[in-house]
Amino acid sequence: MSEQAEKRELHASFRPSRDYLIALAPLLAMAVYLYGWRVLLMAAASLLTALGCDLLTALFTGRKYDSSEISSYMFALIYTVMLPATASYHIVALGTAVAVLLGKQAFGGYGGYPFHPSAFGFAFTAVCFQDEVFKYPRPFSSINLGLSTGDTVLYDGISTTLRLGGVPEVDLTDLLIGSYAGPMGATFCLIIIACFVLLVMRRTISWQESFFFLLTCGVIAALLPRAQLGWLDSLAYEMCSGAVIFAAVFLVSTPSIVPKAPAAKAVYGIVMGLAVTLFRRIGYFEMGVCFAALLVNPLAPWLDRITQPKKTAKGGA
Amino acid sequence: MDDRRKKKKRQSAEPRKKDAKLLKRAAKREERAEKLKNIKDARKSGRFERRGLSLSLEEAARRDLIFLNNPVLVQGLALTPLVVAASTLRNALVLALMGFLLITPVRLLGDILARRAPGRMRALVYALISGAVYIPALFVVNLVFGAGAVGAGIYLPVLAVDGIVLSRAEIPLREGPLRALENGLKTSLGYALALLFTGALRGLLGEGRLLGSGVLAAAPLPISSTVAGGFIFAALLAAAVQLAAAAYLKERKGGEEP
Repeated sequence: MSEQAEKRELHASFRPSRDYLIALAPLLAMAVYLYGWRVLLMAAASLLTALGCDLLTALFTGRKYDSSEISSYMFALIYTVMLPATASYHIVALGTAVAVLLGKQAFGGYGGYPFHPSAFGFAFTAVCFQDEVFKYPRPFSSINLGLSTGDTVLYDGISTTLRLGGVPEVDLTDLLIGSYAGPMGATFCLIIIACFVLLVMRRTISWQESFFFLLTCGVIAALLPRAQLGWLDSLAYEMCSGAVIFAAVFLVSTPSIVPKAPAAKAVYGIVMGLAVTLFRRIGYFEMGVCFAALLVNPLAPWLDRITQPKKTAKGGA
Repeated sequence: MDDRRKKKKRQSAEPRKKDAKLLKRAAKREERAEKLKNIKDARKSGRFERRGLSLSLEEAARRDLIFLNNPVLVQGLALTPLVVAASTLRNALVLALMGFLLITPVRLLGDILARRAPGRMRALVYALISGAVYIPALFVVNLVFGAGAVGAGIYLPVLAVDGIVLSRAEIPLREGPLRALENGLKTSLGYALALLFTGALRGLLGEGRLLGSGVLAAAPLPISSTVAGGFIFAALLAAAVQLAAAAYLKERKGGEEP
């Protein structure tokens, strides 16, 4: 009986990763509905790459492969849904390999990394292939399943339009349901909010960092609109574009990276919001959330330390 | 009364604590002396096992400044020029030539001229020697590469004060002119190999070119020519070299065991 109990003991990453994978499923389903079966092929490519990277790591480190350690699949899918549906398969595989091997395994596996592996993989491919990664097809475009996406017309994202001072031509309904040219799984704001509620209710993530992150982004968007927009329109466009809401749920609040103390979580969320806004407004790339995550994630342990009450020595003056 | 009793108790406890500390220190000293004695005895007997490797193999690995103890990929010296400047083969060649012209003469002259310098002055003497050697070295580099030397930018003068040139200043033991020459040449060669390999690979992957000639139709990995890519490359290369070195030493050790 004790042997069976030992066999059933799962890795520490299993539960949060499983919950994240469940949360990503509706995003993938919606992406398939809007962009076709290529989305599934891209997801399969990233999952297979993640599996291969885990097996390679087990081979090199001499450790047994733990099938309950499924965080690599979580990072692979989070990375993949931030790509456009026309991204090449080699970009999917390369980014996943970088995320898993360099972003996660090189730091000792689950929990050892200072920044989100998916953000790292995305930043890597963004620098390498920015033309492919930041151009998006419109929903219901016909996209080839093969290696080349053919003559699919690609468009800039809303963030690029805002950065250039323009007004996006997307109405509020399309903005909320994600029916516009953008990352294939990161535009469905309503679904992502539902995923957030699910993850918080299952206690996989806490609400503080996401809340303060969105609050910071929202306040700046309302007070400092970029284009000729009212504060409400600015708020809607800024929050629903650039994968901000997606980042709030899947990048900002990853339990293995965020601070532990409640005060530190709030500060972390605010700092992340400031960094994301800065990168989106004056950064070079369209989706600044990943670069901001690389910058702010490593601050988490320091924020925990500085927000802890200082212990005084016994009997000390 | 109670206060006096407490004070007496504290005073009698303190010497006991001091005694314990002294005993601990004495025990550590004895342990160290025992270890040194064992090392000396083992050396006399001709065979010594330390961390599973024979001294001769460990010493050989330490002295192999080209592969097993590469100055860049194992010791971690002169990483900045490798990461930032060695983004093409041409830049790598410039840095490698400068390395050859600096490392060996500075090591040799430093061994001769700095022998009488007190500890704190050694680094200054080495830096002065390096500065003096840098000027003719720069002339040679400009003569060979002309305008192509500009690609290495500020990292040519940075190399003159890098650890790979000046690290010997921290070790007061003399190595002798012949050993200094040998180690200088080995260090230069190890550095050059790391630079050339990195520069060639980064140029090929980042620009699809080698020495200005187009080799690939498109750059497969444009990040390779950036500093971020340089860091990743250096890390992967260092990991690969250290893995290979560890595997080689393990195999050699396995061959030595009876």
